[in-house]
Amino acid sequence: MINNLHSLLNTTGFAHLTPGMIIMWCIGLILIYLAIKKQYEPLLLLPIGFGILLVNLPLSGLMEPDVGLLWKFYHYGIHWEIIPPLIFLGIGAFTDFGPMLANPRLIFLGAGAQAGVYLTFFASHAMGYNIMEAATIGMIGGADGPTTIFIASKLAPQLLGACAVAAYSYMAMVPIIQPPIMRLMTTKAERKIKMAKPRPVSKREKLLFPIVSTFLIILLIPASAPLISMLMLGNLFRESGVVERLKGAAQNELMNIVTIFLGLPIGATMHADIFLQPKVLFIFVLGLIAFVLSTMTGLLLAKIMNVFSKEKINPLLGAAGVSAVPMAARVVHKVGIEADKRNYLIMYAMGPNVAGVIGTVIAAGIFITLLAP
Amino acid sequence: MTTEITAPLPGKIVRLDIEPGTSIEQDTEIMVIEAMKMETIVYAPCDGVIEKMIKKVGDEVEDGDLIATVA
Amino acid sequence: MSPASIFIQGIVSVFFGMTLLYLSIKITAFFVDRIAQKTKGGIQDDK
Repeated sequence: MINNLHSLLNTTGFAHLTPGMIIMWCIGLILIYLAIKKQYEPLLLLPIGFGILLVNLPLSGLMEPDVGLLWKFYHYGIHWEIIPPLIFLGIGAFTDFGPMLANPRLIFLGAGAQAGVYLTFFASHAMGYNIMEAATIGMIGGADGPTTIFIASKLAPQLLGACAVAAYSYMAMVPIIQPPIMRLMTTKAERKIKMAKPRPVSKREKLLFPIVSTFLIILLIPASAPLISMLMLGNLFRESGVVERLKGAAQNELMNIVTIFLGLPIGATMHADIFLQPKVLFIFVLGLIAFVLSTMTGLLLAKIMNVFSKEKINPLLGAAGVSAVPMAARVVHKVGIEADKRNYLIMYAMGPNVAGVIGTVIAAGIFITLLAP
Repeated sequence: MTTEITAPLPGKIVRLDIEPGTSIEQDTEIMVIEAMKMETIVYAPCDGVIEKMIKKVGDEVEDGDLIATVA
Repeated sequence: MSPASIFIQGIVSVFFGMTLLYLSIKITAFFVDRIAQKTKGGIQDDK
């Protein structure tokens, strides 16, 4: 009789609970709380949080290879590299490259912020992460969720959950992380610099940009093709003006659907046994460092460019090279207004901001080219 | 002499504190433009009285568009 | 491959890529301007 009861209990999940799982429930619930109450990237943190809860319920088998539902989402969506490029299709359809084309030299600020990625890579490797893991952690500094997930799935799948959550949560915290660094590294006079009126950008130029840049970037860094091709296709939908339906689908329906299939399996990669290790948890510290360094290198490059150019750049724009679109650009605008209430930087900041997206993809492509097995 | 009030950034006018006849002082708030889901306050460029309104609340403006004239 | 060489190659390639992008925008803008001017000239010729 007692034996029967015992075996009955063993078929339930209760007998297989571990303290680690309960800690993970708390983490999942915290993410759900942050998503709902604080609206921190709710579209992602909500499904990620729920995914964490699910995978830490014993015996559910949701992440069991070949059979589990979430495993299938993960395997066919992320491991097969379908979802991150589809997200990029939507981003491309949303992105107006106009501000970047109007002020092409600000592109370099989008590159400057990528130096933070490589510095963090270097630091992480020095701290004992292997070279693939270090590359993935550095990528958090690019502040680009889909790219971080893309590179993690290729180079260090065991860190995917932590890196994705770190990237998305720090992106939501850009308005808190960046302003102190921006004020520290610039003088009030620099923050007051007004930008010269940008040149007008014709429709034809905007239309040619996705085509020309696709050729150029893929020829230069073939490994970046999955992301850059989709980004530019989405943008071509937008700028061509003849496929409103496709543009709408990429921006809305498709984007929303793939977001669901992205968040849930990311959460599901965060099983207690994998996640609760000092090595994985420390990623959150390194991710923050990556964000700080990227902001700093962006600002620094803007200041260096000012030494050499006659027309001064407001160095705050360097901070927008971190590709968290459009959060980083908004932060630049707000800090600029603080210094001078008539200094409206938003449209200038969008330039380095969208250039940052391209820079991050290039950086990821280089890591993959040099490191992928 | 007329001074033009132009849009300092592209976006949508979500609040207008001025109409023809309003007297304004330099650096007082005259309207709010929403761009990238962010509300930005626009300040009066000079002292004077609003002569003519070209745009109204809800209008989308481009950078440099004429919004009102000040006499 | 040593991390130092990846570090250097990475930064150099990102800047190289962005420089190419910068040049391509400049070149496209130049040609688009020229085409625009030519079409304008064409219209004037018709008059």
